[in-house]
Amino acid sequence: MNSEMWAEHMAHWKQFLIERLSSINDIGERVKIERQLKVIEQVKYAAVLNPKLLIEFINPSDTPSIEADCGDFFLTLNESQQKAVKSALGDCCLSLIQGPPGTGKTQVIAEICLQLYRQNPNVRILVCSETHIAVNNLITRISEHNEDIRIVRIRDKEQNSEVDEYSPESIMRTYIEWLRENCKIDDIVDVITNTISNYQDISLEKALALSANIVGMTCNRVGAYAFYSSNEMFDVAIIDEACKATLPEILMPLTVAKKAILVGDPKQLPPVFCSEEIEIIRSIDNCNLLNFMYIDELFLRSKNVTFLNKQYRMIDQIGDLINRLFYSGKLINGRNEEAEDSIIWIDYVPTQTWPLNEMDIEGKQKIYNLNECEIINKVIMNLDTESRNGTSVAIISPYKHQVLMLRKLLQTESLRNLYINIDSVDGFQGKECDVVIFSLTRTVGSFRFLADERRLNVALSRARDKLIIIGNLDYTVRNSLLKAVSAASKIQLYDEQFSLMAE
Amino acid sequence: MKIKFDFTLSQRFGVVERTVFELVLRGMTSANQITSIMWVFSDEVIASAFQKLVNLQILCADLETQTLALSEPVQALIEKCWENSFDLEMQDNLNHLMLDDRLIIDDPKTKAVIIAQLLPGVKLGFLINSLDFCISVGGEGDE
Repeated sequence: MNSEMWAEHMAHWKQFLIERLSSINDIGERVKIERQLKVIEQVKYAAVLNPKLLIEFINPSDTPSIEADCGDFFLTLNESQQKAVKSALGDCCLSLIQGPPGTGKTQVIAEICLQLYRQNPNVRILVCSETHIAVNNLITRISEHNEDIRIVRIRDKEQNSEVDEYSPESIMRTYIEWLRENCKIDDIVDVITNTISNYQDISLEKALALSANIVGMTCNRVGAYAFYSSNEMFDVAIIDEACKATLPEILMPLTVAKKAILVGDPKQLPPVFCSEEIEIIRSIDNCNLLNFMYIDELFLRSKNVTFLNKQYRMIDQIGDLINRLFYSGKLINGRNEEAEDSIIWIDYVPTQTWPLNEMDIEGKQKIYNLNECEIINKVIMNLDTESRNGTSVAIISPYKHQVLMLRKLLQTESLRNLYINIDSVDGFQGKECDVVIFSLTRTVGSFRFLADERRLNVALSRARDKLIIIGNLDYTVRNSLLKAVSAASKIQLYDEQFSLMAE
Repeated sequence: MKIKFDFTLSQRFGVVERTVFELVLRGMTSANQITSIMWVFSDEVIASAFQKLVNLQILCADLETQTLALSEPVQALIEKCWENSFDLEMQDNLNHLMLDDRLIIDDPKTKAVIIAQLLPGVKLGFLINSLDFCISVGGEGDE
């Protein structure tokens, strides 16, 4: 990107964040925005620990990285995964890995960490991800292979701060227990214990983070610490789910690392703005924050992108659909298992058009569909009788009111074999289940949100074995993408009487 | 009112520097011993703490014996704080700021005055940003 366009894009971010800051009162949210504003200023003046990385991020070089010679791999990797590891460990300070659903991103990141640790037992790796699940999975996989690696897992104070094995609290508790058992001088034990326990600021977290080989935290959390000198710099920052983070969020880890590896998929969900944020963006002259994602652009332009081309999650029929609709035939099936009727579309004749003309307290239309709730209730009852014990089922919808309605109405307590998780499509990115039931909800109105290509990719690619789509075909065939999905599905008509379960 | 002065490291120091300082203050001077007892932090992090404390003249280091000690100015200040008590008219508006009969002083000008009072004629301005003083009620007369 040329420097003028970059400066203009950053100016739009700054203006957006300033206006957002003035409109919210939540302390946690304010802190996050203030950190993002700070990083924009840092980047503006190149006040970062490795300016070379920043330059590569803004203006990626035209020459591909020279791949590293890794020797033996710790984990079992396919060809594209091996290439991603070699490229990430190569000579370029910025590399990108595009990981479609189920292609083993965590496996690749774990291998990169293990390789880096083998090269240098004092290595410092910062792993950032928007979701805690991704970091926890990674940490579990790494610790299975090497118990000596020092790991710290820092959670946002603003969010649920559940204590786990690698949290600073847990590490310090273990240390103080060790101290009490092993140090003979009580005065010394008291001094250390008191100094550490009574410390109010975040210097303890920072010291533990700088002492670890692998530190896991969200991008935003990085902005909580002040890193002053190059000896506080992380050797590598690995940013998972990079396409779901906003540009200011991604910049935070980039300001404190020698080298960065961005892992994401521009074909899955981008960062989502709430309606207040959209309003602010629209009020800014010539602002393109809604339709221009710099990270997606980077994945398109960079010469150092490795595409992970084999998916191990989905059964062939589902994998083929995802491959054809979203990845232009570049995605290979790794499971190589076929089953009949893996994709089922349940069509129905609605008792009325959905959504109703009903508003929530914020004055927005409540988009839900009781007919689909009722069908899903029947579907899960049937599934429960024919499934093995422990089958995981995700019931997802693009719309939050449909999610709330499903949570309220579905009778899941009596199920014997199924574990049910009801969530929005956005809330379910990064997760997977044996069976996915996708409630399209609308029978009338716009396809803009419902059939958004990236959202649909996420919705359809969560299922390992079976995908059940509930939707009124008369409405959905008007959209080409949904029509293609229905063409690949076995169509069943729901012909029972609706009982309007909400009443 | 009889008062005594005391000091602590200021907020510019993090938990690792504070712990190192407290350990040295209590006589643990071997750098290796400190590093091994504080194993929860990496050698680099502890070395950075040593470096910061030495650069800011809180501690001094003997590279040959790999030991640390309180710097001469800090040692002198500790002695003076220990030995001396002072008469001070506490203004009423300061009383409500006192906690457990102690008043924390982090204002640089006041800190400079306290240092000059404790060690008159010695230029110790470089310590102002590194130390926070506290005034505690009680002195020889109250013992």
